[in-house]
Amino acid sequence: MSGKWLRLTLVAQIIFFVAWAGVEEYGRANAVEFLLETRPVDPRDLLSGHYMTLRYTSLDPEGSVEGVRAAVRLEFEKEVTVDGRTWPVWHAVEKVEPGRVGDRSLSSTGGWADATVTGSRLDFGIDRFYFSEARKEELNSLRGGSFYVLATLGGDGTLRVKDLVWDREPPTP
Amino acid sequence: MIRNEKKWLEARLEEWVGERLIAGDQAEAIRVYQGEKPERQWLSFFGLLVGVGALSVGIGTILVVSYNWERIPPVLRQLGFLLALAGVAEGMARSAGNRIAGPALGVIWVLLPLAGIGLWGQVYQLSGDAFTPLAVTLMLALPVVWIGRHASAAAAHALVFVWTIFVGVLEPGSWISMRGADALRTSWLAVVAVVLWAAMLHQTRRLSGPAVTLLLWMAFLVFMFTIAGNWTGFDIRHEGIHFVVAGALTMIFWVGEGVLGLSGRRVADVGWFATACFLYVLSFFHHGVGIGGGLETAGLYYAAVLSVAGVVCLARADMDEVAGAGGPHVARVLLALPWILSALLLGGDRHEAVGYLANFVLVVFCLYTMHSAVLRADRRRVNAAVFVLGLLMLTRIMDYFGSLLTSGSAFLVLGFLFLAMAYGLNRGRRHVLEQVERGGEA
Repeated sequence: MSGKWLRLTLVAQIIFFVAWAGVEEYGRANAVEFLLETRPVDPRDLLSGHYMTLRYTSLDPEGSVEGVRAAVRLEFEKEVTVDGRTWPVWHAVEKVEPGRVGDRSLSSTGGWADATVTGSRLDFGIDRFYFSEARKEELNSLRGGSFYVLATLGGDGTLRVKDLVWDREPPTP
Repeated sequence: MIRNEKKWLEARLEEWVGERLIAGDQAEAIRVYQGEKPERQWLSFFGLLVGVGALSVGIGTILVVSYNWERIPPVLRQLGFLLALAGVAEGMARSAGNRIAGPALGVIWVLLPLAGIGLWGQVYQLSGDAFTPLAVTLMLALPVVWIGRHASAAAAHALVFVWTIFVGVLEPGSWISMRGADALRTSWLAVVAVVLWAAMLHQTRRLSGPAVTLLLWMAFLVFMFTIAGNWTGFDIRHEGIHFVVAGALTMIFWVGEGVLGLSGRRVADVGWFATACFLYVLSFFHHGVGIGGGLETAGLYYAAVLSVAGVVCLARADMDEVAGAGGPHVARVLLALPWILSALLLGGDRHEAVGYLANFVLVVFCLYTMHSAVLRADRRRVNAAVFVLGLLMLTRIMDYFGSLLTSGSAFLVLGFLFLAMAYGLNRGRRHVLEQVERGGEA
């Protein structure tokens, strides 16, 4: 009897993980890709694996919001070429209370991202970049240059990290 | 025959003779027959070779997987996790009557969802608070605990619960947070927290027994103290006060026998375990931690009152179960040491010294425990002390050498070091157990 219920529990857990993966994959399939300028720092965590903490300089526009949620308008800022490939770079231009946003439609040049207001900063849920043991040495050897996060923005306002992109050459003024 | 079997047989023979199922000379004949058989070695040469081989294969597998982690497609990593989950679940379903495999798989299954959430987080590069994954793990593991009904799995669940609720309350951003802009604003959330504690205490009492329940009670009291310090006007300010309160509670619970209906043996077990845990936590302070704050607070007076109560309780507690060399007074001092070390945290910038002292005290505490266990012929306590000593050595080795492990050969060297340590500890343990056996026969 308990064996049957244990197997049902297993099925429920598998459904949970598969459904979660489905939601993430669906969100990425219908999202717009762009770069965000970042400056990574690299603490190590034995429990979570290797990851970098990401800090963003262009994701906290001026203005103030009441409450714990905010909608942040991201728009195309410039193009950069890294390793022969040209990417759009986006930045934040405005933040308001979510209820004040009229048209939330997403385009290839801009969209609204949801954030949580934590103290004085905005939390988009893109603060970490996990990397493997093999990639650790490569990332640790980086000293200068420009760092970008390859991010996706979904129609539901969810920002996600896809990869870390860097250019060893300092940007030309 | 291994020692546990010998002990079991002796108990059964006494029982059968007492019940007049067999005669005394028959029992003696059985003893002689079994005594003439060569004793099975716990750690034979063959076993050692197998262990080294298994360790090498294990380390090799971990290295190959970790160095190629990025080359393994995410979907394969996820499938691997789901297969592991299914394997553990099926193993648990098939090992209902097994006293070792069932509980071990139960504990693994309780913790596996957390590993899965971590993996999904890595695959999809998700950031966020620590509370949500822990809370989801608790919910996913709940049916495993109640259907499997293994005491160890329920204890693991209780541990995750304590971790979850402390993280949730203290971490800014979680929905039950009491810190920062998201501070707990409505009293109904406090009621929810208390209801959750009550439910967990009920579950632990039903499934894990009184010892784990007692530890959960201690965690609850520290939690309430934290709530009082963060949410109400009750002022704590100095983080070290939390440690003093926990140290005092450890002493107070030594006299929990009458209140909680525990046997003297259970209370001694819990007191020993809580003291060892507390010293282990303090042993990390040698890294240097930023504990400080004002001392002229209501929290300090509360801690002082609890401390006096703790000292009185310890002074009145029956120390016969734990006394070794030096008698009950030395035992009392040893059991008061976590509280004394916590009190040192309040006296300025001595945190690293407290950490070093805690390491030393924990070693002395374990050696003292072994000595007293020999006097009382208590094999269980010897094993517990050896385990804690091994854990402390392992922790400090990882502390100092863990960050150097960038190559496979370093892993292998460390693996052999652990093997040597395990062998040495096991030899020492066997020697002490032989002393216990001789003491028991005398």
